[in-house]
Amino acid sequence: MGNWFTNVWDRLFNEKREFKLVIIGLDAAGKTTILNKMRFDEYINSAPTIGVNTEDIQVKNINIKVFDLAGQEKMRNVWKYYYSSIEGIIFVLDSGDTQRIMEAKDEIQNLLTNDEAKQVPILIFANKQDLPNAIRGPEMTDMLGLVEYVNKKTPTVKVQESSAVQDRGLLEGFEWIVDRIVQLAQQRSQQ
Amino acid sequence: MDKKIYDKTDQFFGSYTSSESNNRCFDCKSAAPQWASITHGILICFVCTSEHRQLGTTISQVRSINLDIWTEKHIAMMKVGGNQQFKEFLEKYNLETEKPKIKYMTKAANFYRRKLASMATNTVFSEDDPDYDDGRLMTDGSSVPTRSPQDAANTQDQIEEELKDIDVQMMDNQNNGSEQQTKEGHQSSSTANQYFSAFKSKAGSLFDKMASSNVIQKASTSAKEMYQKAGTVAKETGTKVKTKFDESGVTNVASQTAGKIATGGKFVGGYIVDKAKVAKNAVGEKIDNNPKLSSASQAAKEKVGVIGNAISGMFGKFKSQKRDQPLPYEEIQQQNNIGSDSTQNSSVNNSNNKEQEFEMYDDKDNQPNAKEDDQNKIRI
Repeated sequence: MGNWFTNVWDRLFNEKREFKLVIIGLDAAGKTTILNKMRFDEYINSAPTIGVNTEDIQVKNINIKVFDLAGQEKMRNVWKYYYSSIEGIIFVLDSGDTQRIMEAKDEIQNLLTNDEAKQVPILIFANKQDLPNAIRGPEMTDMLGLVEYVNKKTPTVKVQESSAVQDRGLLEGFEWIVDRIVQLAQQRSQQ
Repeated sequence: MDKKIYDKTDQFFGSYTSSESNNRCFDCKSAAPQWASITHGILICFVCTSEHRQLGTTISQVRSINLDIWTEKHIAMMKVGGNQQFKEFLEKYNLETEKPKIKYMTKAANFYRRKLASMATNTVFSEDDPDYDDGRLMTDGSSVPTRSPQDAANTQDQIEEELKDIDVQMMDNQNNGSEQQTKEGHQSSSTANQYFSAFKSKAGSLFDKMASSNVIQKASTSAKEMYQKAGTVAKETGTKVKTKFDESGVTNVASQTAGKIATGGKFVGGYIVDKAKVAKNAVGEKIDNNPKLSSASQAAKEKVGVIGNAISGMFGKFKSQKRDQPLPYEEIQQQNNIGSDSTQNSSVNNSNNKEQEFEMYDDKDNQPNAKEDDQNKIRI
């Protein structure tokens, strides 16, 4: 009986308000730069990430612990070990790097076929929109083969144009993923 | 063929870096680079990767020798490239010593990238090298910012001025962060500052004596660059410490700063001694033939020894610094605090804390494990 009461109390007042997100993507896409921009609001020239960076950020009064993983090819194997313990995935693309879009597409397909990654919302930042030859959001969605995912009634995948240098689109993206996480949690608790 | 993975990467880079030019970072000349810019076919160090990554992947694509998987296409780019080759190409346009932001954005560098790409794929490349003036233009059409001839003549004055700037920066940094920093971090930064200024005066007199030889002048310029880097690193870490303290009050960060400054100093020292050795070998024959130069070289040798001793002494003292005498920052702090009550109160609290820490520290010194603790602190 006491246990039941604690459950109800927790659900009403002590709702868990910390999410964990993971940021992945090819090397030199701008993962660490986005995180530094969100965390410190400044643009820092970053060297390649070795291992993982973690930062706590706040979006819509919710604390988010973000794991920023390295994007080098041999380091991509560790991404999958994070999927089971996080609420959302952020994938960062270099929109100006047209040569490696297909490499990024392969990684995103791996992500969408992963059993654990399927359960959580996936936000794709089409980053570096400040570059003159950058691929725009809709075109990028098409190239990555994500049209069917994005056009679902309640999509769990979103392609968001962004630029960490110009501070464009970052907050919108983070707000979307937070909203989706909250919605998914509510749906699951109703079931 | 393009996508085929090259399976002998280790052997390839083993022999690739065996030549002297490829075993140095193309930008900063530090030893054993582990990263490559495949669009230029050069090897660079971890620190310089950030400059390259900022240029964008269309200009410089950075890959790690160890952490990335290399395809045959990438290896082909490295095979036709090489640090020495690109250096010689840039020397034709007098761009070799420019900053990365400038030298990789010129038309000459753009031409070299296209040429390398076609060489790697064995396609015909019929364009001629751009002429001197055209090659020195930036890709957007503007011209490379020139250095005035006066500056080139007064390199020595420049060095002196820049060294002064660094001193001022470090003092500013110290003053700004004084209230937030803990005892330990503070102490280390001020001692490091003392030794930097002592080192500066010694280095200045050394530069005076050695100015006659071109080779040695080059060595001194690179030493100056290293000194500058150490200064900026110290400043950056200082500001980082400040922000961290504002937010969380984590005390470990201060000892990190100390470690970083210490390693920075060590690096500078080692680098200068290395450079002086290289320069000495290069001009060794000249010096032996010329009596004037040989006496000068003896003086230089002595000075290098003095600097080496000063630096090793610096780390020795750094560990076993006695806290009897008031240090410069404490005087500064006292001066700053006069006039406002609130800050005086805080300074009283601080000094109490300091005394406690002194006692703790003295106790530690008496313990048999004190040495190990000190070493760990510096490593952090």
